[in-house]
Amino acid sequence: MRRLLILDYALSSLWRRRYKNFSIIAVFTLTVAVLGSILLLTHSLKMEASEILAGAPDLVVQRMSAGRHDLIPVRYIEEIEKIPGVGAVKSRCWGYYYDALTGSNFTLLGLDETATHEIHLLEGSMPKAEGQCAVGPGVARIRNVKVGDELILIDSTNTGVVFEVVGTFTEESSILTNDLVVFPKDDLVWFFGLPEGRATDITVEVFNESEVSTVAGKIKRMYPDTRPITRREIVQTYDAVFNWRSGMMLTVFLSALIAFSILAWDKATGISAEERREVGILKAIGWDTSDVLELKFWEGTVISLTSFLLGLIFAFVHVFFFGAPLLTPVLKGWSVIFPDFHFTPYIDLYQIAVIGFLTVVPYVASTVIPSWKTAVTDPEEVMRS
Amino acid sequence: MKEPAEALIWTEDVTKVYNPRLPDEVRAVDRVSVTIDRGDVAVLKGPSGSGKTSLLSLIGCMSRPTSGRIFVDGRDVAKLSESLLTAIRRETFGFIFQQYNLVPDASVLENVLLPLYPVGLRPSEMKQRANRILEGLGIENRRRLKVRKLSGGEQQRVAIARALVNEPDIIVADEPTAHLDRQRSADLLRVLEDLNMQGKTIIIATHDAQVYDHVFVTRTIEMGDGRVEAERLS
Amino acid sequence: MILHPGILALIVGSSIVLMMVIYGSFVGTRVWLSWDFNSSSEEQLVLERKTFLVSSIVRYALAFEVFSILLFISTIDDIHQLFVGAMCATGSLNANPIGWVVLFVKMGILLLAPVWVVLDIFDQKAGDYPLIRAKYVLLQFLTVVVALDLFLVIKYFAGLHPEIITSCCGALFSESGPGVAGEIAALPSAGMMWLFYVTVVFFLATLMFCLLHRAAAARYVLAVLAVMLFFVSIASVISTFSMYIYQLPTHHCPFDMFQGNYSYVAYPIFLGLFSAVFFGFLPGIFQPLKKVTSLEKHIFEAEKKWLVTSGIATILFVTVVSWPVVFSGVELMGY
Repeated sequence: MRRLLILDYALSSLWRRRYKNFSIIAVFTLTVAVLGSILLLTHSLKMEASEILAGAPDLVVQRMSAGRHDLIPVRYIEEIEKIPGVGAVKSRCWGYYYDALTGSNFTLLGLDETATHEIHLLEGSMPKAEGQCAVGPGVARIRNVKVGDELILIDSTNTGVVFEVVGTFTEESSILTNDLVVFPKDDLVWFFGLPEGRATDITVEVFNESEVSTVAGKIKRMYPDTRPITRREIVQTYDAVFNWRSGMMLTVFLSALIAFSILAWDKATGISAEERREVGILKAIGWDTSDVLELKFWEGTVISLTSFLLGLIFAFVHVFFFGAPLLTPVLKGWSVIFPDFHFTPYIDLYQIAVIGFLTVVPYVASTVIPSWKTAVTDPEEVMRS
Repeated sequence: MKEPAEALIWTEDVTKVYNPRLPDEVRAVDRVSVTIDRGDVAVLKGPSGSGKTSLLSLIGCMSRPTSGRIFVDGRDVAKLSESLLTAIRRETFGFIFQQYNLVPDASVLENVLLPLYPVGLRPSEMKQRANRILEGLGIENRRRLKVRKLSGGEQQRVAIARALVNEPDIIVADEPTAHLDRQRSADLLRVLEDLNMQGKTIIIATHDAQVYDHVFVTRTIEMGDGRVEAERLS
Repeated sequence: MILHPGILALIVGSSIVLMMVIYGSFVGTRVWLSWDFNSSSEEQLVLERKTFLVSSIVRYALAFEVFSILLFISTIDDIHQLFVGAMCATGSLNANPIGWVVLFVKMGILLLAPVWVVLDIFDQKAGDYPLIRAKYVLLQFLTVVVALDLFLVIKYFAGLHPEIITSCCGALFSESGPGVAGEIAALPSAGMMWLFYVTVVFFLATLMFCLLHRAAAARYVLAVLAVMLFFVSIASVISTFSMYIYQLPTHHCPFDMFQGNYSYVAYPIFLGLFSAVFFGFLPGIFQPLKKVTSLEKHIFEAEKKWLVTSGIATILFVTVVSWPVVFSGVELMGY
């Protein structure tokens, strides 16, 4: 009961000084919102990536030459197929294309006739015949093309080539397909001028997941000039990259956190004469130091919780309803074409705990000494004023 | 002199030094021994700076003496920790300060309830108590108003109500008439007289003749320079 | 070193906590060096007021420190996929064995920190500060432990290299695994269960006895039983109850149950166990302090609450772990 009463008084005391408290809540909220946006966004990107990678091949084999990625001979497939436990082995042709017109990069992918890509099409169909292509939503936007239009790309001999757009990918798949242009495989080989019998890389299906690394080892021994990459490694790389990026941003953000702590300290230290007198009165009429400390504890809790919840809500809305427009440029890096993000909203207690630990702890640490200073106001002071 | 246990308040050679061993050292209370019995209306009389307020705060368990002994209701309070002093202050004393010392932006009711917050009574009981007291002082219809909006006399009543809400045995008042005109002072004295009739011990520090010449005073302690100059029963 | 938000939060948070505790310990030491309760001087009053500062700082710091254990477990759980072969938090710990030390240090803090807070509460209640020296000496020790914790946390995370191939919990907590963890998991479940329930019954019986009688010896026995309960319970959760919780005869990992898939069942289990052990342990620790006059009354008052809390926590804990054994319908006694 005592606790509730002191909480009650804390609330009315906060309300009486609402204009002063408003500023600290605003800054606190902003701090939580920025931090929360970073964490929610990177975590969403991570989840999105891992969802996509779930459909990725178990093993990708690249060829290395002079320490660089090189085209791989298609004949390697036959030998790899003979390894026990290995399922389908396919070659892939793909590459990057710099579009001078718009100053952006596209990813060009050659489609195998047998390939069963599970990519949702919003409109049209996958390219089947020569001279057809399907484009991702980013490409469609930046080149202003839709189904039925023509897409002109410049090939390696500096000749313009006309493709007919027969399909555009949906926004849902945009993290994967945004900058993608898909052609029949032969078109791509011809467009890039790839040598006969070579592919960009080879994908390998392995039936038993625990044998992936064994198979990778065998391939490496068979063809020492190759580099097998397991899906797990890709997942880990993505994870590490996203962790690293959000960690980096958080680190940069730490200076803001310090500024926030200083503000909290300042607000807590600079109590008005009126507030000081009020605590003096409380002490004189029978409040103990520990009661005033409890009052300060509740005030801090109310401020932290309010700001924390508000900040989380802002972060949530910012990331999930608006696609984090304020953060994506920093997080996504190199590509000029950004997918429009529409992440699936989620609530993760762990993320909330991390944000809490990063914001509430500094806030409390910077207010504890000022609170104590207020709490030990001499009760006799009011007698002598 | 009585035994410490018999008197309600009993002090022996109480000394309070502010800023000891500093250039601005002040010996506010100097070897004071006084006794106040249950049911007394005691007046600490003397010019300002004579140590009345300091003695009052020592007796009221607001501060600890530099040396000497103080017994309140048979209990030695000179060497208690601040928290225990606070507990005794909360249970035994009601304070009326010179400048009311109310929280101006809080409501009348909230101000009156302030001393009860750390006690932990049921809210309904707390409100009942406060309402009864406010009614007795004729300001129950002001309950919801902010103290800031009240007149001086009404504020004084709120201060009295606050001093009574913890049902103390002893009411301590420091220059209670300092900011009141003759009529309001007389009203206040009537309230204090009533409380004394109800069995409360009253200790007033004052240099107002209207107070110390009042008939209800049973004990006058005259102070000067931190010492007791005369002590008289009437 | 992995730059991960959770790791960052742990290191930043723990650094702040350490700074708070060091400051508190510094102020505390200065307080007790010049402490003289019989003096009525202004200095003594200032010192008494400073004790509130120390209490306030250390209580917040310790609360954060306790919270950081949960954050630590969740973090190592979150990063396990960075390690080849790691399938849960155990894998992350194996990736750099210092992690295990971190876990034990944190568990030590979890038990030690509340003891400090209880000492502090009594010291404030007594009115004549009988525990001031004990309190601040313990605080210095705590400061060292908190510093050690931060050092180990940094060392642990700095030493994590994501490419390491770790044994996952399946290998560590499976019967054939090497080392202590494997041996715990390999304990015969029927025997373990017997030992567990017998310990619980003894513990509860002693607890009842303490509630009814004032014998000092019973308090010490209870404290010893509480420690036994702690180790027996952890061993039996790993070796036996985990199988019922996961409904797999081979899965013993104590961290998976912190996850949502198992409806966070680890929280009531370990919270119950820790409260049962902690409050069962307290009467024994505070028994000698009953000699202090100003404390005696308060300790007797509090002791009753501790015993009741410990009893309730024990029942909660035992109910939660026994629930799947009784109701899951899984028959695993043979394993």
